[in-house]
Amino acid sequence: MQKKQLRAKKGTFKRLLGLVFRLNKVSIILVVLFMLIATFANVGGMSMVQNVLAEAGNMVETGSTDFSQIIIYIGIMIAFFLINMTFSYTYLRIMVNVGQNSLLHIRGGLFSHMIDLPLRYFDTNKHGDIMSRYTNDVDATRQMIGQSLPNLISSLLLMLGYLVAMIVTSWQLSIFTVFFAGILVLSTRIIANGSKKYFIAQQKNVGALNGYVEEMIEGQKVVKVFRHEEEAIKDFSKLNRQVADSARISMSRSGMLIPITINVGFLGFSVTSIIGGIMAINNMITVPQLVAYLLFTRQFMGPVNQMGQQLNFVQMALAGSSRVFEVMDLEKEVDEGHITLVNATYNEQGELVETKDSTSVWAWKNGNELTLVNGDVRLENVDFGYTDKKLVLKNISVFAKPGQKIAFVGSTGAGKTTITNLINRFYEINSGVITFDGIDIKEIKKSSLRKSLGIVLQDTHLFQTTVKENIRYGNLGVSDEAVIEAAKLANAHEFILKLPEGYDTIITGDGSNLSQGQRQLISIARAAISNPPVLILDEATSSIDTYTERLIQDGMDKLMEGRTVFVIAHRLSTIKNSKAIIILEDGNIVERGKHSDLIDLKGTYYQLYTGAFELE
Amino acid sequence: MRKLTKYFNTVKKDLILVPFLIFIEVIFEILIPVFMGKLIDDGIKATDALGSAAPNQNIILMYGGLMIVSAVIALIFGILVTKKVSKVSTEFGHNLRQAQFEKIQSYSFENIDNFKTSSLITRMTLDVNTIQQTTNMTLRVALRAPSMFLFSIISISIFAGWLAAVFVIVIPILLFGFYIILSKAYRYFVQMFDKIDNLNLVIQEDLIGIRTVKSFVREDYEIDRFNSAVDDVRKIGITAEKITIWNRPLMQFSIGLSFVLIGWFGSQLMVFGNLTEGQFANTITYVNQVLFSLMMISHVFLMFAMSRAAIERITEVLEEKPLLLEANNPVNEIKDGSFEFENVGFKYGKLDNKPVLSNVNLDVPSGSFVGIFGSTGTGKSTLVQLLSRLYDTTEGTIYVGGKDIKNYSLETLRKDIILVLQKNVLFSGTVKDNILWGKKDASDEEVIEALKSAQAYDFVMSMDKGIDSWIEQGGVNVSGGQRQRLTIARALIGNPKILILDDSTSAVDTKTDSKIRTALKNHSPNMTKVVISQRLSSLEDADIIILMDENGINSVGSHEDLYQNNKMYKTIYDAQSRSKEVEE
Repeated sequence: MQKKQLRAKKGTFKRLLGLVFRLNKVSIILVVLFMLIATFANVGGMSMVQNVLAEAGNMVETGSTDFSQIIIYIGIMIAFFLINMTFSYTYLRIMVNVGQNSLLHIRGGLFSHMIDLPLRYFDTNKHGDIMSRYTNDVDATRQMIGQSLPNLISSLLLMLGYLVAMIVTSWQLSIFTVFFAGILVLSTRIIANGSKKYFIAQQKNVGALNGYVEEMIEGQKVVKVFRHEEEAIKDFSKLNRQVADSARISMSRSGMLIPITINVGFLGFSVTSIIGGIMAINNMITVPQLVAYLLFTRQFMGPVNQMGQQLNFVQMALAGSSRVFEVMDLEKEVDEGHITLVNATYNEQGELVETKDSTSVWAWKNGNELTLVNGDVRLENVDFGYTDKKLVLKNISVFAKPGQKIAFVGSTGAGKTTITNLINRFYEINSGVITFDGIDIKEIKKSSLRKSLGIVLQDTHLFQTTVKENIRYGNLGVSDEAVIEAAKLANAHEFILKLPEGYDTIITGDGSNLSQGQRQLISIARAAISNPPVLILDEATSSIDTYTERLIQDGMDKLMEGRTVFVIAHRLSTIKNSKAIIILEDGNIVERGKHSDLIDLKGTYYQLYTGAFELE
Repeated sequence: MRKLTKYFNTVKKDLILVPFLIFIEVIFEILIPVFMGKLIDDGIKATDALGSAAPNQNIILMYGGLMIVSAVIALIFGILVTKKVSKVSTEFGHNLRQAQFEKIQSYSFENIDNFKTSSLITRMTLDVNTIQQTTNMTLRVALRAPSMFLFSIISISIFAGWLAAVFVIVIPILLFGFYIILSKAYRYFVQMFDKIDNLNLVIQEDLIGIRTVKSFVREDYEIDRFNSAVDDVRKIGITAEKITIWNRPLMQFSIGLSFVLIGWFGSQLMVFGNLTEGQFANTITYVNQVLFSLMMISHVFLMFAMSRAAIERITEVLEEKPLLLEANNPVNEIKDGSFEFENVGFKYGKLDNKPVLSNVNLDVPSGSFVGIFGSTGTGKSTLVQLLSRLYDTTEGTIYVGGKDIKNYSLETLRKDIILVLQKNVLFSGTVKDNILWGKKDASDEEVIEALKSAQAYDFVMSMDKGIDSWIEQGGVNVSGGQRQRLTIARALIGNPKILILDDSTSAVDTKTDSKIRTALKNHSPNMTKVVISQRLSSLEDADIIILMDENGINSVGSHEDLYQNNKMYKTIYDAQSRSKEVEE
């Protein structure tokens, strides 16, 4: 694992470049081409300035006042400058798209990978740190892609061009130039290697800071209530200090390269001209040759300095993208299943056939074979633990026949919610098997498995959109009427109508405009609308007062009709009519049976029911 | 920008030092090309008396040596500048983040409602980073470019007299162009940051609601939603950058125009005036330098377009007025847990909004048990949030311990009045870390005591490390009922004079609920307890029950009073106890 990560980090530069190139091959080639044209046009324009100067000198010498040649030179100069302007603008314009499209692609790729990661990732990483990868880390690559990349390529090409010209002019002097260029390359490497870890630390620290800020501000009201402001500031200061320190070191280390390239360039120039001068005195090189050579050396320094200035951006981009790739290298949820869930209907021959319509008949599709979904769910000898150390469920076997209602009862931490997390494969079992209509759930495609299970979670999450869209989340295709129908079933219709905008009221983030109970009613409506063969209700009505719970009982009964239902509830009244009640204690099933059987058994359930024993 | 300059306070010395260091660096940087020219003209191109080429070794060595010395000095000062500038800009960034976070900590509930978390996060990281980079760039360039510019212009006027006037034409064009680009692009950069906020929001929502997303197999839907948020960022980014890249052709136009004008007028002057070829050649060299320095300045301007948007956004956070004002000579001690509402009214936000509460009058003696009951949206939570000044009343006065709450310091008020919010948030850290929020210096025994009263001790002990067990962000690794009990423990440990439970036991079964109430009664008889609940059975023992409906307070009285005299109360109570019979 560790080895793999190291290797991934090493290839970050290649990987990022590969990604950008693959997306924008043509654009980048065009950009470099246009850049070179623009540069040459610029050189051409400047040479015309020299021509004007020379011509004016001639005119003074000859006493001519005929400006026609100068006008021609100026005309060509204008043409060159116009070409330069046009091509510069064009390549910049293309680069804008290249840059922005790359960012879009990186963010999109990161998200579509992330959303398929196992639940454990989301439970154990700070939200703000994950968010930072999308904003700060992706943004860190912006300048490199949009600015450094084309710059580096064209600088490199120009450098090569000047180098060839220099070697042709004087190969002896070129040795010194190459020597100084070597010094520059070497110092770049040293500086890059030395500052690399600070860039990585900087992005990491920004992530940590983002994580802290997100958590604190999301809980800001609790901070206020408990006067935790000072502690929050103290903790924040530490993280803030780390960010600033790593930013300072990385900025100054990589920034050093700018004065170094400029001045080492000058040093090289002086040494070359001293040696060149001595060579000229000894007739090893002619003066015009030397002057031309020195001019090339000066021009050679331009792109070198340009490259030096990009180091900061390149390293920032590498640090940022390594954090993006880190997430992209995490393994997705295992999904080896091949059996899918489809809507089905019976044709005239009474055979089961697949249909695109939303029917209440579901079928498992294995290859071309369809079998009816019955809702027979079995757990056989299941062991499970969130960590290797401790098993949360031990040798659990539960059988739910189609249409049966199975209830789980037990104190908190007994493993009730865990069982539901295993049925929908949020977590993978350690041993044993879970089957659905006789099929091992590992053979069912995860999306199909989850579609077949309607879950009302203990912690209802509603999105910051309208009430209507929140209910529709269960089944995107349905009409407004169906939404209202589902809301009525969950007894949510009346209070929704009382909201300021009715079904179009936007639900706010912290739900300050809805009570917990109302949120649960909406999530029940959401589950109802998805019309699944199996329902899992995990404390679905805990925040609903008993009065309202009675009101929705009819709706709930209707919802459960004909479906296999797993219920977790601490109110025994809601589960009394279950086909089987399973009492869990510390990961073990201690009792199971119908209400009446369990009462007769006079065990834990009996004690619970009569109040002799209480759930903690 | 001016508003933010005070955040340079911690690096004032370095900031003052920077111009001097740059000044020295620039002098040598300007000298090097001069030496270079001399070396070529006087040394290499030197001629003997007969006019044939005879490079002069002494001159070459002298100027070569001078160049080497200058380069070394420039290098040393260049590195010093880099160090100082990095320090100044990162400290500036540090101070901006710090100031924002501290400011947010001083926000009242109402201020918090004005900002979205996702937006505040961007402002503290991405926005600050933009400003930090601009500062870095500006400091490096700000002095270098103008001094190079001035030096070059002066040289040109010395060499070529009024040829320098060319810049009188070119520079205004350039400045006007910059101005147009900046003012146009600024708008889009503001929008771009807003779109990034939105992107942040979508991610945050998906992270919080990942279980829902996965349960309903809505990954593709969320990917679409995310992609459209990203595409918004892309589109506005392209629009903004499309404007800023005009910077380049503008620059090139000015360069071109300068050379055309100088070429034309220069040659005229040479032919008809007294400009020599050498002077003309030198002028061209310096024109290059002028334009190079302008180019650097234009880069800075470009970054300013983006930074201006970021600065505006940060200023917004820093200038948000805390809506709660503290008393000048605050009282730091609350006598007891009695409280009184006198003609209290409240509305959220703007003045023309519908009032949530109006004309509320209550008188509650210390140590009472107050129950609040009513359907959702009747202002129950609002009522209790006014007590510790989480919001300020818009009308009337609230007294706690006999004094107007506005006379107490907020610190005192919130130490003795603790509210367990409906939305119970736990933070990443150990169980103990979370409980200590209620009392910073509590001992383990006190933590355990509080856990026991909140009926949370047993399940905490069954976790692998007891009170040192790790809680994930938002408490995702404990159940809803467990979370509620931990938040109650967190409130209890501070032993407040008034404890408010805002529907805090909804996910807890009735028996545990009643155990918590018994524990409260036994352990803290003098504590005033205010309980909002959907279950009337939880409130039956209350000394005072406040019944609320759409019009505010419907009636106030003991259970018996209300049961006898209030039809609505009786109906609900009977209905609930019927279902309770079924339940038990």
